[in-house]
Amino acid sequence: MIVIICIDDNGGMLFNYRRQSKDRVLLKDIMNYSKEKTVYMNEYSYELFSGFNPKNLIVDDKLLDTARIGEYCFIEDMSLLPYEQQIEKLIIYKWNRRYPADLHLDISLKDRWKMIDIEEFKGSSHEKITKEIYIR
Amino acid sequence: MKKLMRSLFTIVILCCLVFEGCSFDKEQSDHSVEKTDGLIRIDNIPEYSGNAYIVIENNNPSFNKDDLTTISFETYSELDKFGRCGVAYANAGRDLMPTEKRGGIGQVKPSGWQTVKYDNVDGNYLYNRCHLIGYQLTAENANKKNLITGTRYLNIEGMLPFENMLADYVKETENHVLYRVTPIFEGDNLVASGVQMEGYSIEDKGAGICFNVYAYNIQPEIKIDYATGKSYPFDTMPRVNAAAKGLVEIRGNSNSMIYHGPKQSAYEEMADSKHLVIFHSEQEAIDAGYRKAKR
Repeated sequence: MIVIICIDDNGGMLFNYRRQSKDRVLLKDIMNYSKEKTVYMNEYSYELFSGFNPKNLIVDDKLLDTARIGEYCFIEDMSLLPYEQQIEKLIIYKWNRRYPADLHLDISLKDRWKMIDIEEFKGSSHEKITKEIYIR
Repeated sequence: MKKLMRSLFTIVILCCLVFEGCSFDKEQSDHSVEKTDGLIRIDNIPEYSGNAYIVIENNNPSFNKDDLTTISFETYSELDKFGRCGVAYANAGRDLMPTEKRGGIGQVKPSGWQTVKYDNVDGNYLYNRCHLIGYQLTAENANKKNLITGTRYLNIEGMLPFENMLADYVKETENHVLYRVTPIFEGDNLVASGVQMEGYSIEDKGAGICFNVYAYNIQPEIKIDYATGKSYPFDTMPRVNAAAKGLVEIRGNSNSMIYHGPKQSAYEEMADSKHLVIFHSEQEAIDAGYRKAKR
């Protein structure tokens, strides 16, 4: 599976069960990148995409168990460590901001992951969003 | 210094209504706060233990129901007789946000202000003029009612993340966020011990933003005298002077009323405790009503 996440400067993902931030341009980028492919997400994340009329989005609270090779999972509020072996690619959007956090990305990118692509773009409410793509 | 070392302090914050609206069912580590008849008592704020902020009241803020409005506002308390800031309160909306870059604020000298530099502080300056309500939210520049003497650590690690989260949320959604920052001064101290920050997004009933936290006005490795704002590198504190004079330093915990000698297990931990009381003999500690730690 291909996992998509958003993190802040400290690898934070969530605070008090709420996403740290959101950005319309970033969501469009996810939709464009995944195109026709299935993107799994849970109910909490699905409301983010409600304005896109997405046909390739599937709500599944056990998405990390469900997704197969080549399928996408958009993750905001889950630990990835138990599923690291099943992840073939990681797409990380960085806010380039510091937010409060009580859930962090728990995969160490230094150890087993290699960055193969990086790009920057301006978001709707963020000066600079960095998109990094990692494979094993 | 004595005040600095005083035992746990109690903070009483007046409020009119306690929200329950943004609480979640999931368990969360937080620090309990007593509530009695509209008063919130924060007892025994834990000592700083490596986190720039802690969650209080299970992250539920306490705002007045009447303030749940989509009309932006901002209010700042008058300085008290010591020249200290009070509560800063805003309903942050897009219309309050700055349209130009921030100007200079160096002319403001908040209570307890000292210009002091350390090599081990990010940017070298120990103190920043900390906006209670961040400039990015309400465009308040050199408003002396909105600036406190805060450490670099408080500013960058404690407060800025919450301001960023609010500001980006408001920009993205055009919604409003109730945001209140309360500086907490112990006794007559000129420098705040920390700040309480509460936030709640109006239009989505807290689904986007909901928090209640306390951020510590500390700087790792620097000892601060909150009464005056004076500071010391941790390693050159009076205990070193005491050692040089051949005196024994006994470290008492004014919260537990237990004292620790140099070879006891919690002795080093006590060095940075806000409950630290220094004695120069065990007898002095005993005379003050303390008992010796068992380990």
